[in-house]
Amino acid sequence: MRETGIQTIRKYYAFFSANLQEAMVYRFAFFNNFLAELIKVCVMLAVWMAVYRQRSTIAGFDYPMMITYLLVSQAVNNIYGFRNDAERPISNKIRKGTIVFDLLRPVKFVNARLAENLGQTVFQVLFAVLMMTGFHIFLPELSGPSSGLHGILFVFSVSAGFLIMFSVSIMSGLLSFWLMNNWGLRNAKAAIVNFFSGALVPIVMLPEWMQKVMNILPFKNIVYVPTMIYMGQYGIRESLLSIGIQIFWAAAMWLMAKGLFRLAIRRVSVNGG
Amino acid sequence: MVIEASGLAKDYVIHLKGKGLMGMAKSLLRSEKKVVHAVQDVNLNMEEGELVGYIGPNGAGKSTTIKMLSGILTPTKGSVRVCGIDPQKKRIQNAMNVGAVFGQKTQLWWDLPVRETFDLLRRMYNIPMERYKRNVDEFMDYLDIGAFAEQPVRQLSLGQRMRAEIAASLLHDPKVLFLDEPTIGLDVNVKVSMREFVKKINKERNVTILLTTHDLQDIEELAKRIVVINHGQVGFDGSMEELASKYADGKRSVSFTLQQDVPEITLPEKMAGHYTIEREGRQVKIRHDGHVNASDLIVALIQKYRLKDIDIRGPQIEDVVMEVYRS
Ligand SMILES: Nc1ncnc2c1ncn2[C@@H]1O[C@H](COP(=O)(O)OP(=O)(O)O)[C@@H](O)[C@H]1O
Ligand SMILES: [Mg+2]
Repeated sequence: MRETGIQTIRKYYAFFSANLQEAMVYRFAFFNNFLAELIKVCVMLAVWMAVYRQRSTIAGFDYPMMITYLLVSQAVNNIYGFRNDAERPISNKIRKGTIVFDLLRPVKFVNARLAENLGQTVFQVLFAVLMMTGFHIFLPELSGPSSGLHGILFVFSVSAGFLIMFSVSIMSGLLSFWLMNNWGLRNAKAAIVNFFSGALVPIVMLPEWMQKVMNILPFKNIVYVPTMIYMGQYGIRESLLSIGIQIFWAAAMWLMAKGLFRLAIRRVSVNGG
Repeated sequence: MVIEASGLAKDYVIHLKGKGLMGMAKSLLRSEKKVVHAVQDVNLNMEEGELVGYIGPNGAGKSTTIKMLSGILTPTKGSVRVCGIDPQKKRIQNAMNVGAVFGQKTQLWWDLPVRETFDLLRRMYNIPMERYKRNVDEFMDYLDIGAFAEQPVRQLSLGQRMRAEIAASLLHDPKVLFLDEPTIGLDVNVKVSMREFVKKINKERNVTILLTTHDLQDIEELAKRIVVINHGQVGFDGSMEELASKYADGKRSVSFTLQQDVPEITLPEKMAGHYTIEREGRQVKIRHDGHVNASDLIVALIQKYRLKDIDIRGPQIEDVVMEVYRS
């Protein structure tokens, strides 16, 4: 008996709502995280304000642009998750061996993890929107999307960026099958992604050779590209082209994540019994 | 056949870490490997509705076998068919056919109430509403889950949690159920109700069940067929009675105290060769095998001698199992 498309969606929706409900249980912890993030953003804001007291533009970015870049890129980062650590639940399950139950469910593993992750993401989007609204009130220099169309393209761009980020995290999580303790790896990944995605510094401000490296790597598609689209730094044509490249990377990373999963369950064992 | 496993084997490769800083540095460069033959050449066929007790000491390979049968682990060698399909190649299809409880792990959502968990499982398995309602009502009633159904799983006692686990594993009406130490750590009451439930499910729904446990009472009450595994190899596969007659020789005995001095104890001709007598003055212990009936033996004895403090020992399953483990 083949299942219908609706039935398939319903299955994955169960994973989505499981995590949404769990996130609800921890909403207070979540608000703590909100607060921590808010403080981090304010500190970064203060640093950039100090920098811009010395000079009026850096690599073509004036002060209002920089403020916008900073807040939009941080909001995007928060949509993906505060610590970009979709892999943490996977690592934990692999270590404890409860991954057996995920392997016993009648769903595709990576797809189910995506559905779960989206359950959390609902909260994260909510937070990002709240944060941006708040800053708009207090920072007149902060500007909105450069046009309605750019705003719409931004949503697509963030979605593609989300998929890239998610796939990278899943791969990092699956490595726990080989490296029982991947705490170090997780931190390294977080640092690399943070830097190379443009979440710390706009890529245009970096030395030429570094920009070249970053243009080859997929990471700038995670934060930098959506933020540049939002700000209207890319024209419509360029935006569409960039989104095309993002979709390419999203598909490639997604397939890699699936491949790694297949390799993992074929090659490696499950803990405990 | 619902389960067909032939020549099943699993090797684990362990990367040994050196001791201390130097050892760790060395193992980075050239890691030493050790291969554990966790399961070797296991053949296991189970018919629909069979309930097999799969026993063996710790580390014998029970969980590894179950993980291969349920499609979680790839066998190093051999083949598995569950309901006619390869559980690992057709993981999703297989998932609809099997349910599992691992006593040391939980499949429930830690922070969600039991009822919510059941509802999530309903959606994950696309269980038709009517069937789901019937199952939930029956399980909740039989396992007394209603009393704690609204509590988050993290607040449950082990006994409550295990009852929820087994109910969760059966909501989608699996044809096959793997129970890996489902009674571990439970008190007698919960054990009894779990046993009754497993018995009922097996009988009424004809679910094929493979059960591992260290509680031999589980086995005595539930399993007609027993498979014993030790060091990854099956040492015995057969009925309880066969197991007893094969390994219980010398495990049956009649002990008593004579009320007067007797020079020599003689027993009927037909029992010859089937017993041995150990004696210390008036204290006597007669060990016998399955050819001699304990009651016949006592009848023969009391016709000739005056006895007191008669103690009859049947084969204790513990002894029998120890014997199998040793051989
Ligand atoms: N993930 C693993 N990696 C390495 N060795 C393992 C792993 N799981 C089990 N083993 C080893 O395989 C053997 C069988 O284990 P297991 O199947 O869990 O036994 P049982 O369930 O009968 O207690 C043991 O020697 C155990 O140490
Ligand atoms: Mg075990």
